[in-house]
Amino acid sequence: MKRIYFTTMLLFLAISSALRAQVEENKTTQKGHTNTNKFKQLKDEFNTPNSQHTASGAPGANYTQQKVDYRMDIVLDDANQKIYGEENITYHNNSEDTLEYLWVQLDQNKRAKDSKTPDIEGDGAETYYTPEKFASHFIDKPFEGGFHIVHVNNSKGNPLSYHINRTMMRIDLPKPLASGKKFKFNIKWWYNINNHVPRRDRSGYEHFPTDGNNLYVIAQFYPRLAVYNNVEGWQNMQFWGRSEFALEFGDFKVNITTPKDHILNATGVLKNPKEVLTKIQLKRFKKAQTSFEKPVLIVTQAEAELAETKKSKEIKTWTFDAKNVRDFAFASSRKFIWDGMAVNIAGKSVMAYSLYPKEGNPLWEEYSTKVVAHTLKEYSKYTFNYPYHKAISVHSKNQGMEYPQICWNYGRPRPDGTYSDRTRDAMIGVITHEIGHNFFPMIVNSDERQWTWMDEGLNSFVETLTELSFDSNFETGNLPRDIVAYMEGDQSGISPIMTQGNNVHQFGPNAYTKPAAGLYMLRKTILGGKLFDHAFQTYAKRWMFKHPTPEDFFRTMEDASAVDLDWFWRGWFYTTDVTDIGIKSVQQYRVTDKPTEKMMQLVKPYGITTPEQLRPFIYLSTEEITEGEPEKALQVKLLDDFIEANYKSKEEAKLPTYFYEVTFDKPGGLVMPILVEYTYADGSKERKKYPAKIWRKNDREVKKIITSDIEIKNIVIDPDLETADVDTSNNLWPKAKSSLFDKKKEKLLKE
Amino acid sequence: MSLTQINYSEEQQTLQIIVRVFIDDLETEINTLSQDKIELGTEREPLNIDRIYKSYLNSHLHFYIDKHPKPFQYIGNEYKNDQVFFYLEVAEIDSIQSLGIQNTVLNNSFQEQENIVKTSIYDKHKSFILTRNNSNAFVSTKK
Repeated sequence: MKRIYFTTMLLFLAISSALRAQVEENKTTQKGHTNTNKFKQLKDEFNTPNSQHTASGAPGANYTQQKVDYRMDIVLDDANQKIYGEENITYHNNSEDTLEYLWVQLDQNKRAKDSKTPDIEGDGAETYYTPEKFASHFIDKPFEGGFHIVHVNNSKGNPLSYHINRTMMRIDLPKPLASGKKFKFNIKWWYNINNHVPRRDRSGYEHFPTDGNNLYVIAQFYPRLAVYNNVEGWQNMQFWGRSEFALEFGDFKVNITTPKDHILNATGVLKNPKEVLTKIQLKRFKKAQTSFEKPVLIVTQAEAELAETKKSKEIKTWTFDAKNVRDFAFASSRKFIWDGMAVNIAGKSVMAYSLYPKEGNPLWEEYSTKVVAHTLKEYSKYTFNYPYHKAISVHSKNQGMEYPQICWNYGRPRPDGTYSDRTRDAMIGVITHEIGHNFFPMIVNSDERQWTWMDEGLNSFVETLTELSFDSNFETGNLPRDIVAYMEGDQSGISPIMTQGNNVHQFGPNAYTKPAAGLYMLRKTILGGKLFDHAFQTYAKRWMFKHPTPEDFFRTMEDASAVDLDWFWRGWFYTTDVTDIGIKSVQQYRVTDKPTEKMMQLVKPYGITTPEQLRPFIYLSTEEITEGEPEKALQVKLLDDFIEANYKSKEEAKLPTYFYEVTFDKPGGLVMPILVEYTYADGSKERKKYPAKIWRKNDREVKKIITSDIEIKNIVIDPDLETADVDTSNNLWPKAKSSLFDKKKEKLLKE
Repeated sequence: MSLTQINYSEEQQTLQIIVRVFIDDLETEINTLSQDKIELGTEREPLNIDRIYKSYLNSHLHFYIDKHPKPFQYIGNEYKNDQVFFYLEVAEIDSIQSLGIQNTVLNNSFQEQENIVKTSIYDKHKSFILTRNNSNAFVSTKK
């Protein structure tokens, strides 16, 4: 007892004298620093919680949300590609505040002649121009787009004072609107519908020259109230064309008048199917509602092709009723084929529909509705049961765009009807993604204008799980390994995920892939499915039909899992740091009782110069074995005696044969768990995961002693590419002899 | 977006280059430039596709070693999901003082094209984002 104390004392003295020597060398006074630990809590970055957005990440007791109801009469003028509307709006001020004005979004003004959107894009002389491009740049008059506001009236028909600031219109209230009160007003408007194909607009029409018909996908088409919430006040940041929308929930009653031979579908319940469908179509419409196995054609290709040629001059009116939706959109054309099937969502029947022209077949009749059905089921598992009665996938060239219960998707076969696997998979991917948007942001209604990742990132993440359950080999493009090319790129082209979308380089990787890959990593590698799924579901359920903020998501994920994830949010969402963990060195040791050189050096200042003066110890040594030294650990007498005295048998003591010290280094700024695979001489493998917290005291380097009964042949870090490690050349021990390039070259030259 | 990784192998005395491009983007680019409309990476891809790729890359990628233009050898390509990987090599480089790169891949078709170039020479790593306005990169690589 005493002797042990003495040796420990010696060691302590040796260390403190070394420290003293160091202090004496540093004559200048040290500068301090603030807490830069990667595990520091996000108190500085997060908004202070309050009784509206609570510290647990849930909506609080004083959370408020406005409500806006619309009654609209819409006329689609197919002959002239114009749309006319009159809307009666009821604005419910549920906030605690008194409002002096309302802000209304006029998204179509992005296409107005005086739009500033083109002015913020730099351009220069092109190397070459197609005639179409040349004409659109230098000859054609600008498109006469944008809203024509005919009037803005109060409920008695008297004009209200308003001011239009590009894509935002301020309506001055005759008297301030108190908390709990509502205000009714009326807007009449029209605009020229754009051809959406050349500029890849989110809505508009596509013209089919062979039959002379148009296919309309109509959205952002009516003046829509801006959001007034607890964190932004009015969200009236201009619509420049990229960062999307922030909208309030409300109830819609909409009448849409179209040519009599159009087929139309929209957000909401179709109230007058008997008036707008033929008898046989109505019969099929009802049949589809009980067809759970496969889609039923409600409007056939033959009927659509017949309508294409007739071009009726008569009109009809479709009536829709939508409850608790944040927006309204519709698609209309004579060209539409329509099919549908029922999906069982926890005992409730939901309809999956598709609308497509013959140009989409045979791809669309085979896949679209089935993908819709699959998506609704899978997303319901990860979030909440889909609460609406239907979801529609509409075929639209080059588009992938989402609205409540309805979305536009690309995927067009070649003119001869054949298609490549790439076209098919891209179509399955986009339908899954856009239908998935029904959950984020149509129901979990985040502010898209401010935070693209909150809907695109979360949606791309659930999309990834959904695609992998549709086909386990599906190339989602959203896995951690898929984001490496972006993250390892030049820092000047990368922004943190927590950046407003209009100002971001490489928008797709920033706001879609990186958050999706991060959440995939969080689920698979950091939290595990059970903990993650419960927390993610908690977030989705807490914020259904509400306006969550980033903190609400981050806080809920921790609140519901009891895992501190601030380090992950900080690294992955607030910085542009990268993952790079490597094996710096591997040192093998043997067990001996002969004091090592290092030990002798340590005790030398205290007069100990021969091993005999030392109390016996066990050493891990790298020095060459000398005569008389034990060859195996069990031959070390001290150890053998200890085992005999303390264990029932030598077998129970399970003494390992091989000892390795592995030094992991971390050139990357992100902290991540270290995932290691050890391969032994007999070919067997073993995996070990060291939590990210292993880096809490040393952000550069950490050592581990590994023991085994069999010799280790090689070690690999992150064998399944789970952590987005940007440099895998240091992930192997021993180092790989030939590079990836060499291997590919050899293979390609053989071919 | 495209990604070009350039590594110098001292042992083999070659510059090893891997260029990654999205197939759809390259299809758009090649089809605006050529008379015939072709498909890439499908069963309808033309049989002489390597020649098309070679000539496209030859006019859009240039390497200068110690300020002298150096032609590259086109080794081949590989499709992986929605991307195509090109393997190129500049041979007989016994040492390298500086590397110049001009990369105008996809610049004709995409206004906001970003070509990322990464170099690893004598264990020194550099990366660049090249755009229409700035399609050149220069690395001083003295040992």
